[in-house]
Amino acid sequence: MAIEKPFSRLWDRFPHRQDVAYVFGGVVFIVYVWAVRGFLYQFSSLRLYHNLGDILAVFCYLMAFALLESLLITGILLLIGFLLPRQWFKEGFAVKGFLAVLVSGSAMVKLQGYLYSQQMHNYQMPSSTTLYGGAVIGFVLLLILIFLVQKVTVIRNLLLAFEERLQVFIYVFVPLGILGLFVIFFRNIR
Amino acid sequence: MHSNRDLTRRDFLKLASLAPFACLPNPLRRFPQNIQIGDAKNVIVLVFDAWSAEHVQFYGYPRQTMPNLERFLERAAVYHNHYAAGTFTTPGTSSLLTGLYPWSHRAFSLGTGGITRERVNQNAFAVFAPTHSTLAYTQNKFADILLCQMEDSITTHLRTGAFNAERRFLYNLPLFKNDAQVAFASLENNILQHDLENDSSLFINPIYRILKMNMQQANDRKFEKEYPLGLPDDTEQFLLGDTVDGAIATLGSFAEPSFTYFHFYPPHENYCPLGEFRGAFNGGWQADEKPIHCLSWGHKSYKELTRLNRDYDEYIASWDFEVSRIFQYLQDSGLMERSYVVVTADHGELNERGERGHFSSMVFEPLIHVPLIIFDPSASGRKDIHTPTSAVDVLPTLAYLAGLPIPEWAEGKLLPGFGGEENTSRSIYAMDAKTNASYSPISKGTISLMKYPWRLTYYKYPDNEQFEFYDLEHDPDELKDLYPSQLKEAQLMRDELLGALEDVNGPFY
Repeated sequence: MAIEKPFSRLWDRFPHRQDVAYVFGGVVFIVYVWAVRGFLYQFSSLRLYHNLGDILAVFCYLMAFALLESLLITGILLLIGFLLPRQWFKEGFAVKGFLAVLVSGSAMVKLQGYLYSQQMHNYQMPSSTTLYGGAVIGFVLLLILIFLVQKVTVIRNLLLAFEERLQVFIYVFVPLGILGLFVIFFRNIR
Repeated sequence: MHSNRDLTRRDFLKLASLAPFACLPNPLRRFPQNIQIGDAKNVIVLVFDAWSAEHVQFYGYPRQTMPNLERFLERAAVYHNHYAAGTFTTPGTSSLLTGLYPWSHRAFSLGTGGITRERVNQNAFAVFAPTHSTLAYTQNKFADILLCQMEDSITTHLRTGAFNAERRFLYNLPLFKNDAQVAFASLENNILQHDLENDSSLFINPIYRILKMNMQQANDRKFEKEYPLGLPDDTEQFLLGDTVDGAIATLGSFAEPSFTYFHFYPPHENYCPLGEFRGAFNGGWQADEKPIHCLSWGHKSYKELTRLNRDYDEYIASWDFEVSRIFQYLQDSGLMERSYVVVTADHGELNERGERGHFSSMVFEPLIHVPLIIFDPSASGRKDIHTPTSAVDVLPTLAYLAGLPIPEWAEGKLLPGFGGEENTSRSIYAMDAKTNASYSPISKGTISLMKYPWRLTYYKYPDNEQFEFYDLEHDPDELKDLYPSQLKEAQLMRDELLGALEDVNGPFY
């Protein structure tokens, strides 16, 4: 009988490395594009009171935070895959994980706008019905999409091809995030 | 075969249940121990944020908003015509701490901008640091950014949340000690904005905000009886009593002689009066209606502004009730006998002419006319000083009182009553240029020049360039614009104002 390495069964519960890379590419694309959009939105006001060096430093903070956020989101997806029975999420992780990121990302965009309007008008917490209702709608939408993608091979292949192309952003954004971490480190060790 | 060292899903979930305990930090505050008291006096500056002199009874307001503070004024110098140099925290506080007008320290834009690098070491802490221990505390995040800039000269810089019910800010964590301003601009003002839209964090921010709102609403419910309109907060919630207790504890343990700066958030919006003061000013007097100004951003109704003014007054009364314990402590502990205590505001509050609070391009009396009270340990009685004075006068006067050289850079003069002249017709400026770039000529903003009894206000905007001219002696409510009829006096002041503006803009063209 072969001797199992410690944690080997644990390791098996995680998706294949290539699937993880596909999902990470999608997460990086969505998180970083949103961060850059936020930076550009604030750029004109930053110009009012910061010099170019400080503005670049702000950009570095954004990139570093986006890297940590991307790792966190990917980590959460891996954790879900780890905790759920493998056929639920681990199998077909590249497609299911990416769809989960797309749906939850869209929900977060909607939620940010909603929170802003709530706070602007009456500083009230959104009702539980709204929040849970939104979560349920998002979840049902995700299930429908997963079902659709599993049944229609063309869509699945298109999605995988798209994810494959998104991986290029890992090579663009992740180094920027690492550079951002270095900049933050050096600005704070003085 | 299962190895004994395999971690099962169940084991993992058990371990995960311990995660919340990692979120229970218990930071210990450390204060310097008392040291030998020398001859030098302490200087204690207490700033109340957004505190307008137009809402205080000993400056003529009909409502008794601060009866407790008034009890302590027997040996104080009370300045009746004192003016902030800016209309919101950043320029107002910067002028107070540097003795410079906003167009010199350049901290006049809305946001995370601070004092220009060339001026960053020209501040009150740097003046006092060679002879005094220096201690700084503010609950206002924008004022804290300024203190972070001045940190080289501050012995003890307490975090905004030191006395608050919660701590939320990341920028003032020790991790970002050397880069607080940019960390604030990035983390608090962009990635995790607390009340604004367009955050740069897509996933973490909304979840964080929901958790924050949930927790704050739970706190509001918990303290509903004490604070019927909710707990006061500037992102971090706090209780008025805790803030005062924290300040008293700090005053009881600082190293003397000390230059101490406490910048409290009350009575800044949101107005959160204590339960016992709720309804204290219902009925009776209320402010007259003033026409909506053409530059009003809010266009609030008179009814709404009347309610806001009442809430503001109730909040001031609540703060007076709590903060008077600091004055009692200073008196009982003997600190008052060995300290100059300055009480003032960074700017005022304007709930009139369609405008709410102090997010405005107007520069009217309620927004810049602020209290200034100086407790002098050697004084034998109360002095009421009616000569117009400015926030930029405070630093030179304090340096003079402490026997230190008056900073050459300071643009203010010695205050009357403490070595200064009683010059009623001196020029006093106040300005708002929150949408103008800090490092550009001032081309968008409102500048007020006061030469008592006249005030000339220059609105300089691309789509609205105009002057207003008021006689503050006969028209203290600034309702009759005399610009067309009093052209001779107005023109003299206009030339002076435009000349000053040309001088300060010169280096930026």
